[in-house]
Amino acid sequence: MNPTAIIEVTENCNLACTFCLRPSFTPPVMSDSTLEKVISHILECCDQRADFVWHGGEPLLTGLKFFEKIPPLQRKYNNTHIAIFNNIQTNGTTLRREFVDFFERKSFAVGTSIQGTKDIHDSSRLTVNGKPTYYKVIKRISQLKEKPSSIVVLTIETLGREEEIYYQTKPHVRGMRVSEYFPRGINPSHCSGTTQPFEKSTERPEPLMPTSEEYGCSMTRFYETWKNDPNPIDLRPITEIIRSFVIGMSEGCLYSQEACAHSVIGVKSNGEFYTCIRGAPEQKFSLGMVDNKPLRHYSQFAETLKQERIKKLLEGSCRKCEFWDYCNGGCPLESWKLYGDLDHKTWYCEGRKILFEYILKDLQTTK
Amino acid sequence: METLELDLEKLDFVENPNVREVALSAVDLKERMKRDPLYKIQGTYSEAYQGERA
Repeated sequence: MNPTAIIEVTENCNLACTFCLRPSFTPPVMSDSTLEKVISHILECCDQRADFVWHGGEPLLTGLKFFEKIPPLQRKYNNTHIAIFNNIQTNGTTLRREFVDFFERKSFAVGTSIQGTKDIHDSSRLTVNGKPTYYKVIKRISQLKEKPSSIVVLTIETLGREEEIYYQTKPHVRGMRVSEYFPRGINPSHCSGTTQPFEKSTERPEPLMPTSEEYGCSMTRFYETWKNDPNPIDLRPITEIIRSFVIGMSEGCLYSQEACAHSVIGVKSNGEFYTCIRGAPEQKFSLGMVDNKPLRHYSQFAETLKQERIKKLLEGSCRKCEFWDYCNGGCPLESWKLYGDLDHKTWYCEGRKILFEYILKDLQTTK
Repeated sequence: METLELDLEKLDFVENPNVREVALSAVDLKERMKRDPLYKIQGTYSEAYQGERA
C-alpha cells in the first residue's frame, strides 16, 4: 500500500472560519513520541512511496521545532528507501520567514486557503477574535519562491463571483481547488449544523451550503472562466475531471472509491488512525491507535467498506448514470454527515452531472 | 450502467486549447501510470497534495 496520510498535528486553530467542519481552539499538539510512532508505522506499511500531508487545525501553531523533527525521523525509519513526499496545509497567517526557509530547504509543498476575493475571505476566514486575514495571508505566502496551491470552498457567498475569484486568486498561486462545501451535518450529534437529514436537493441543508444545482452552475462558470483564460492556472477539480474522462478513472478523492477507504488515511494528534481525517472523531471510522499498528488490518477493512458502498449505490440511481466511473457517488463521509448513511449518493449529484455534461460536450467538440 | 467512451484519437482536434492541452496531457499520464510505480494520480481533498510532484 502507498497511502497518503493526512496528519492532524493539532486541532488547535487561530482562525474561526464560518464553514469549518470541526472548529476547535484548545486541544493538544501531537507529542514527540506519537509523532515518531506515526512516522515509523506509516513508513513500515508503505511499499513504494509515502505521502505525508501535515494538517490541522492550523499545523504551524505547533512551531518550527515540531517540523524540524520530521525529516530526521523519516530518514531513521525509511528502511526500504522509499520515496517520501511532505506537504503542509496552512491557513498562511503564521507562515513566518523561518517556516518558509525550512519548507523550501526540506522540499515541503505548501498548500493554503484563499477564499476568493478580499471581501469574501474577510467575512469568512476570520481570526478567533474576529479580525480579517486576507492581506496577512497574501503577504505571508508571497515569501514563497514556489507559489502555493490554494483552496476556495464553494459556498453561497461565492456564487456568481467565479470570474472575480479566479482572477483575483491567480496571481498568488500556482493552482487552486474549488472545494465542495463539506457539511457539519447531523453526525456527530454535537455538531452545530442541521438536525434532520435532507432529501430534496432544492433545500439548503446548512446556511452556507449551495444546492446541488447552484453548485453545478457555479462550477460551469469556473470552468468557462478557466477555459477562456489565455494563460490558465491548474484549476481543480476541472482539470482532474478532464483527465479522468481520458484516463477512464476518477482522480480526486471526492470522486473515487479508491481513496478514503484505500489510498488516504487520517491520523489524529493522539495517534489514532481513521479511514479519513474527515471521519474523526467518530469511532465508526477509527482504525485504532498507532500502538496497535492499525494499518495491518486496514486493507481488508477498506475493501469491505468499498464493496458495500458500491453495491448499495449501484442498486439505486447511480446504476444508470453514465458518469459513475468519474463520480463514484461522491464522498462517503459527506453522505454520512448529511444523511447519516455512508452509502447514500452525494448531495452534489445533480450539480456534478451538470458539470460533467458541460465538460464532456467540449471534449467532443472538434475543430 | 452505461459506459462513457471518449474517442482519444480526436483529442488533438478538441476546439478549446486549454481543454485540449489538459486532455492530451492525460494521454501521456495514462502511459506514465503504466510504467512508473511511484506515480499515483489519486489526490485528496486537501490541495497540499499534488500527485504530479513524483
